[in-house]
Amino acid sequence: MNPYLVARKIIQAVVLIVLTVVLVYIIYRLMPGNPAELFLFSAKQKNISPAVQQHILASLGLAGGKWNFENFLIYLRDMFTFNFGYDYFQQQSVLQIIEYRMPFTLFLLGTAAVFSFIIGLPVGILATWFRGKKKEAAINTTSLILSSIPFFILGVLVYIYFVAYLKLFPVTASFDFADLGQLYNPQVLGYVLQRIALPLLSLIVVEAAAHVLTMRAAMVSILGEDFITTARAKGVPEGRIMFRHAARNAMIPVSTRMALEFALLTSGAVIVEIIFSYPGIGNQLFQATLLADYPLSEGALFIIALVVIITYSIIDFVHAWLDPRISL
Amino acid sequence: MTASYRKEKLRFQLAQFRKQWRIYYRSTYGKIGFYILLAFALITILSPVLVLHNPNIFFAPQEDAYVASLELNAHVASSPSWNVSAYPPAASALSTSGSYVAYTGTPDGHVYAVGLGGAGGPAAGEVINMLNVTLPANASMYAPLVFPLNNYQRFVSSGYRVVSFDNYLAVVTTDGFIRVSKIQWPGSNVPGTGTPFLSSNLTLNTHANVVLPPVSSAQPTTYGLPPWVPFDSIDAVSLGFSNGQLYLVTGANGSYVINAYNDYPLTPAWSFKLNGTALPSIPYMMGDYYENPNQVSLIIEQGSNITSLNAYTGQLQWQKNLNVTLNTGVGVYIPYGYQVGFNPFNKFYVASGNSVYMVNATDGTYSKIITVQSAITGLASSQAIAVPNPQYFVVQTSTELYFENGLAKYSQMFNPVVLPSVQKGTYAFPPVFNGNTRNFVAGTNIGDFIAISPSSSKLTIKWLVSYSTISHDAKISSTVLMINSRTGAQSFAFMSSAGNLAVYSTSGQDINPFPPTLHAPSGNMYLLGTNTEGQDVWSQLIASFAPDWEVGIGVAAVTIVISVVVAMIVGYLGGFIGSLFETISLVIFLIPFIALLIVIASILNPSLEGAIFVLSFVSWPFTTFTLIGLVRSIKSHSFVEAAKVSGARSMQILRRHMLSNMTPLLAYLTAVNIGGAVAAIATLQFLGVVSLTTVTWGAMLQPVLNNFYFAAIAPWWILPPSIALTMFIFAFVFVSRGMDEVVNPRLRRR
Repeated sequence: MNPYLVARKIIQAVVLIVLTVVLVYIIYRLMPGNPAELFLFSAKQKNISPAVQQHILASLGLAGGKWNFENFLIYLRDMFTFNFGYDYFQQQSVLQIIEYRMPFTLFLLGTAAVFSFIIGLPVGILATWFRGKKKEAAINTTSLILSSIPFFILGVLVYIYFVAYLKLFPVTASFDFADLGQLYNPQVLGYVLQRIALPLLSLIVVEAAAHVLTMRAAMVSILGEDFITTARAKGVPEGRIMFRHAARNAMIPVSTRMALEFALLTSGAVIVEIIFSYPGIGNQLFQATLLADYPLSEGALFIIALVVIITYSIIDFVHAWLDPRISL
Repeated sequence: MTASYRKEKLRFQLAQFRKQWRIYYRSTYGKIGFYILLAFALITILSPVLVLHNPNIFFAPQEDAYVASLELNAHVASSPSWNVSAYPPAASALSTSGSYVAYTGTPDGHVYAVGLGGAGGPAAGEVINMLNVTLPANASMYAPLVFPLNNYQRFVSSGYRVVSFDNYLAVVTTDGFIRVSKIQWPGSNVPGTGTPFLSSNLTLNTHANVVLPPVSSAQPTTYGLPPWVPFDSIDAVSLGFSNGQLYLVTGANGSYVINAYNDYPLTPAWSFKLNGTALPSIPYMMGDYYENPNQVSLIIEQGSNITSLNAYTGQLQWQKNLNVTLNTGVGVYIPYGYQVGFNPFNKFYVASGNSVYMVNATDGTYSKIITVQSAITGLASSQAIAVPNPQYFVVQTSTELYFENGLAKYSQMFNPVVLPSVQKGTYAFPPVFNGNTRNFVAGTNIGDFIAISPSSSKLTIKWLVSYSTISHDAKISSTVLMINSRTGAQSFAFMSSAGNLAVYSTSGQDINPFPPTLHAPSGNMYLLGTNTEGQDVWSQLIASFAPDWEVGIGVAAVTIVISVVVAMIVGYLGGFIGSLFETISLVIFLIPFIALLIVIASILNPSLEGAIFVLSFVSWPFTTFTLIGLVRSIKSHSFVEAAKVSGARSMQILRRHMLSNMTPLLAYLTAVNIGGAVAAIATLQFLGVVSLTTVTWGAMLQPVLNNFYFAAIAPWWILPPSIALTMFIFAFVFVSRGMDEVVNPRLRRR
């Protein structure tokens, strides 16, 4: 590894984080309306004195209008010290809300990612193995259809059929935070599974199908490469060609996809979280953004972006490891 | 020479295309995709013919309806004067003060209280004669005013304290006689117990000719909202102000005076002579009582002039000539939040001809905001508290209701709502906004009422009721919202010229497991049934084809162009500019797109172009990264090296090698982007983030989020858009597969 390029990568990640923080600040304030006015209004109705009103506004980071530069500096300092303040409506610590919500999302996404990878990759290789046969067409068409159904339609139809019509699953997919730490207990696991099954299933189906397609496409293109022909000419067995030569190289686009997909998923899971009322960070971010709750949405967005940027930066190193041709 | 060359070239291209088409057509995916798309295109072209109903019209069901229940229909009195004008009933809507009775007056000087029901007080429909004013010949009485004035604290049980208000009743006659009385309840002054009577009477004979109904400062300027008690009791006393004021417009023959009277004790406060000759409108108050108690204004409309007076002193604040004749019937409309006057949104609305003007209450600057098809007869808005515009605004003409999204700066107009029965009657009085159920209640002069609830881009008919089916009264008064203190329920009430007081609940009653608007598919009327909003599913489905094509193609075109340019800059050019572009696209890409979309969508005006912009802005980085990878891999191929060595210029390499090698992927990405954009816009509309007036498949699915169970028992309104959307996206995915076969020969063998 070239230390210069590694340093460059790290600098890029830092620049990305800083730009994201700045952009987050700007976009929320571009939204029409000013949350300060709501507070002033309720303060007036409660006959709170102007001095106290100003104090409240300052504590909300809204003193002197929403474009006040001093507030921006305070915001920058707070973001990088993870001091996100309190949300506007419940007056809870934003960091605590994120700490509470984030594990839910990571649990859902992580489980979905692992399972879709476990299912998607072998099926993708299998599809290449069967190429030209009816089985391949069946695998292909199924994954094509599953991966291209709009996410929310799949979620809605699943919800309507299993929850609203058959009434097999609970109405909301929410469960207690403490349950996450006790998954080894079969009772708790069953309880959690019953709630998480449908959101997880919709995520896995779509993800795995996409992995199958990417894997198959990558395999097919790699099987046309010269080194495969060389390997065939050398008399390497077909299975070895598939798994050792082709599959490993095909992992590169799949791993890229995984990283990109992770970014999309943090947002994409929002839809699943909303439909199934899952207590994840995405659902929280969606609600907070709609309410123009600056601290909560900024904090949540920052944390999500941070996770995504770090994942994205790490994936390049994984790339380099998988494909020696890519220098880093 | 050149002509034959061109011809030859064309023939060659045609042959090339034929060959590619044959390869494409050999692919099963391509074939299926092509035929689905062909069908979709055909339906789109034929859609104007296929649409049976206007997809945006709300079919108010004639039967099987969600109806508002008639809570009371009491015969108050028979009086010939009802036929002259049926006065709207009055009630204190402030629930702590108690509307246990509704008060109604006659032009010939009688005031009746009608019990609204509940234990302890007057029985429902019990009529109590409260007051009889002896009127001289040629004089009549205006509708009585009921307003809260004093407040006091009352101990209900051990240590539990409630704030109550004393309600006062004021009547004013055309010859200038004013009478203010406290509405007294017998016993230990517990409102709602026993039979009310009037006490502490104060009278004042001004001997002036009163030309307009009186207005109290402690009364909302439009019916339908609880009074905001700007001058009441403890607050007022502790701040050193007098109690409330009554405003009377007196005068005759082109010379009018605004008179203010302190209402308790009843003494003259000030007078202001208007210099215009036209009959003014009823004066209304607005201002920020909390912020600036001395700066409350009184707004009067006269001819083309608007006058703002200080409500305390009667001093002229400003006068503005709008140079257009104002519709006096509409008067000054002040949204609820601005009556309280939450600065800086200090504005009110007036109408002239077919247009609505927004006037700044601080200095009288004005602007035209809405224009409709015919003369405006009424205005109403939702409550506007701490927002620059009321969220929903209703403009009423005699036959139509126009709903406006005020937050979208009046650029978004819903299709007008026309009641089926309007052909017989006309919308008679301004709609009222019911803050509890967030409905606008509009009514016709023959007693048909409709409650409409606007939300993002949709209007929902909540219920319909027809009073004329109960009794064929010739005339009804305007409607008044009341809160029943015993039940807390909001009702709306009106008087009929037959002397009946009708009280309806403001919420519709479910008389059917399905919402009334949800009709099962039936061949003769609704091919695919109607949705929860009462709109024809078939027509919506067909009308959605064109907008969805538009969004898909628009987003794909914008995205591809941006992506190709950026990908070449980043992948081929590289360097500082390359990393700059890469960083920008990374930032946009890495911020969760849902948050980005909500924010951008809330900034832009809701339109198809806006939606295309929003989606392109978010989708280009993803396409770009796919392309950057390809550009880099092409760049590392030996043929590019060879081209470079042989002295080819950058543009040549980009065009010849990059672009031509990209074409397969570009064709594929275009197809993917069209499908993706349609899916994305559908997702956004499903979440209610982007609101469009145009109907799309996503918009059709939007009500599902709140009606999962209606979707489960009545799948006809969710399956068609879901299937259409999915098929549309499948078609593009299949087409992209077929294209793969053409442009990627290596795939063909396998």
